[in-house]
Amino acid sequence: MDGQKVGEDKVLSVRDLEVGYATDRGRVRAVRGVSFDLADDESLAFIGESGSGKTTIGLAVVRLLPQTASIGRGEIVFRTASGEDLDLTTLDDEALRRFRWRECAMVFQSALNALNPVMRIRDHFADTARDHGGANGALKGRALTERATECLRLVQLDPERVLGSFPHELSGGMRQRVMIALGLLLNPRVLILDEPTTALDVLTQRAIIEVLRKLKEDFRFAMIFVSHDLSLAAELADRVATTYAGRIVELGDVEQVFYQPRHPYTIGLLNAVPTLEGEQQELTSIPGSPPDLIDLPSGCKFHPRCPYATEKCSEEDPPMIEVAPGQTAACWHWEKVASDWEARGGERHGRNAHRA
Amino acid sequence: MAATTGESRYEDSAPGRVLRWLASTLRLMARNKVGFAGFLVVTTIVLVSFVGPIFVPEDETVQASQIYQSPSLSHPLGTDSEGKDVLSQIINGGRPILTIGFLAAAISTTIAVTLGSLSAFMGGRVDTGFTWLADMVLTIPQLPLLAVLAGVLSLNSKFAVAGLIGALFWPTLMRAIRAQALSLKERDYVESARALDLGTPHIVFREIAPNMAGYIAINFTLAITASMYTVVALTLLGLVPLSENNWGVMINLAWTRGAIFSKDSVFYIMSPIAAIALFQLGLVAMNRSLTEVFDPRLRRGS
Amino acid sequence: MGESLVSRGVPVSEIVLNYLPWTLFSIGTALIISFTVGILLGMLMAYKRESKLDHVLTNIGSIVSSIPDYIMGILIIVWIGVQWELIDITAMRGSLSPGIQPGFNLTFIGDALYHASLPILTYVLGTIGLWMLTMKGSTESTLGEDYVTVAKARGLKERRIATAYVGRNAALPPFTQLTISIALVFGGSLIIEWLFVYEGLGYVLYNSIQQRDYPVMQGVFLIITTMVIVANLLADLLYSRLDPRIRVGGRD
Repeated sequence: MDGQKVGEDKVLSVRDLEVGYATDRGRVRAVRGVSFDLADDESLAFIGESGSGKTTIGLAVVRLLPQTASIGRGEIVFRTASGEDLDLTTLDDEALRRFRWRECAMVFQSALNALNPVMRIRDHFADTARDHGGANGALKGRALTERATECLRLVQLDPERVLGSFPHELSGGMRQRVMIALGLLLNPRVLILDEPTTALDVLTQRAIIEVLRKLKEDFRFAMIFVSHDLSLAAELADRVATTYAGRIVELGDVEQVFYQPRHPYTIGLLNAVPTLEGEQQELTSIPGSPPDLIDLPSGCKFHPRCPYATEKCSEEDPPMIEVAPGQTAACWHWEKVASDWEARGGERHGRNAHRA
Repeated sequence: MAATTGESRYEDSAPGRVLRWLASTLRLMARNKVGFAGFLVVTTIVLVSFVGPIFVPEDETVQASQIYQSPSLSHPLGTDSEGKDVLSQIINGGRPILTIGFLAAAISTTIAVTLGSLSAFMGGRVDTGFTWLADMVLTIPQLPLLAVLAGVLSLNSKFAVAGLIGALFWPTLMRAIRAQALSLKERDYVESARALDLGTPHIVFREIAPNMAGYIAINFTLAITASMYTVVALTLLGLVPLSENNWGVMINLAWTRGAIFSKDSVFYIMSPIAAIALFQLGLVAMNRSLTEVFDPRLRRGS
Repeated sequence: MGESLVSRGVPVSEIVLNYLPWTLFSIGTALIISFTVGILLGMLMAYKRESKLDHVLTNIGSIVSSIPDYIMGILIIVWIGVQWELIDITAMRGSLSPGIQPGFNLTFIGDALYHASLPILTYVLGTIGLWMLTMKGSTESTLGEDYVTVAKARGLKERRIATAYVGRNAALPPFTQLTISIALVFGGSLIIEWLFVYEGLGYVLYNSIQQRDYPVMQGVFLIITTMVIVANLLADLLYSRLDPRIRVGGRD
């Protein structure tokens, strides 16, 4: 098949993805040309405000977009465990069904209602295993119980208590962890987590982050996080992509993005995070509000809110420019952004944000 | 429109006000085409049933040779088992049924609104008592109870029948009214406890009526239909004295005289059923207009 | 409960015991059929929303549910029986054909079903509209629930999702409507059994009213009311079994 082939260690390759929603007022351009690669053991965080398109990217990969949404163009190529390259945009329903969860599992935000209220937790595991039978027969009986127990232990839940329970007998945090455990059941190559810590109390957030960090250390699989929470990226991500108005505006290693940001939006996000140590800084929020995705501004979509905006910015939408090895940013004035950042004590500032 | 003193005096008088209200109601009804059609059907049937008999007396002549005739010019709906014209029977037969239906609905609605609001506002044992009563009435199967009472009590007057039916229909509406009144009670209590002292009934009828008027009106029309069908069922079973011919009696006679099992008499048996069904359809259609009339949010822009 | 006035010396309890099973049989069968078919149709209508099938079924459901039970019975007799001659009305009268002995064999059960079929059909038509429309609404809202989307994300088979995730949850609200239907059907047995000459409790009640047989009247009325209450209790119990969220005294 033509198109991109996934690299040696790469598990996912997305090129020029465009996704839109049909609404009464017009077509909402939720994702406008997103491209990235994902290696099979790295964690990539998508950070951005609500409406930036980050969740839509995740939904597009597992093809669970709502009825009103459609993939305009672009390619999503996935390398399965058996070495096959799948073009996810053209899979038929049955192939898609087999692909979901087994190769790539997406855990949604707020698992409060993600579990069937009339089924016990162990039945959820059984269902998942049974419908993914495969050549060797489905995981069942004692083997299933052992594997489910293992997965629950990995997320620090007590299997004996949890397996026999109904969802309403568990707390919100526990349900979120059950979802993650379910996600691990079939050893997927990629785990997509949509806002894994939002809507949870601080202690549970901590627990989940610890769980994910440990999983990352012990197992070889790729993770995609979608969040508005920078600190999550700081703790768990290898690479970070900041998204704005349906596009990635900066992409690089976590240290590059935090210590040497090159896009004004990224800097805006960093500035908005308070630090616990160091000198008292002024908290600045980015002035203005996110753009209307039906009626986008011309040129660079961030220019109405950008302190560096010039006339060129309102006319031409910048492509992703390589600003350092392995780091790209979509800004015409990245060099000026860089020098200003260094001038203001750059790295130290970044380190503070990193520790927040 | 310049109003001379003469005109305004005329318009302010009671008949003037009623006419104006009628005119505006008609206009409101006319907004929804389906509703208006329903309204016309309902009004026509009511008029035919109450005024028609003056012009079209019931055919009393027994003509054995004309049994179960098919519709013809002289007998648009055919004839019955005794050769009597069916159409005239239909025209004359609606009044008792409609009257009882209307009365029973009025009785049950009044009971429901009264008990519901009293229950909500007085709370405590009154509330518990009335709710228990409503549950009781709901649990006991209606038709058997009515049948037993009708058989034992030998009902003669229309009022008695209507009263009996009305006494069993109120629980569902009462619950809805009670729920609404309870929620209003919360609001009032928060705003001003003194208001409750001023006169609970006053608040009840000033607050509940506008809010629930639409719901009550629609419920009322549904109660009319249900009551009509109930009295026809009782008549069919022969438990209501068959003094005069009415739609229910026609069905009863069709049954007892075997008309149901004969092929020719289909018009005789279907005519009263169709009459009631048509009335029901009209009411249901009219409900659409009623919803709009009472719910300002649904009214399309004037 | 005393003795019958008309049939001297026959205890009311004996009369009740003789006729109760027939009523229970017809009503029970009817409710099961009505509920099952009703929720299946309702689910179908929800899945095929806005399609021609949906519109047709919704309209049929509304119309059928607004016709009272006895009128439905009369219509069945007049049209299906007499006008179109599809079934033999006279042969179907009574609850058993003459000469058939009660017993647990196919002939008996078949014959009983044959005679009960018209009452059952009438009960079913009278109550199915409610199930259809309630289930349709309930399924529509269940389809929008998170756990259905997540079930798809988990790569579960469509059939499994439709039964265990959507159907199982969407059927709960209609179940609560069972109490209304039970009362309707028991109450209607008076006139339906009279209409079809089906020898059950309703039929007995009617006769006792006509004959002013007060002990029988009271006894049968009492039993019918008790049956309604018992049936409601059973329905409640069954519901609490089906919905783990409201189990009484469950684990915590």
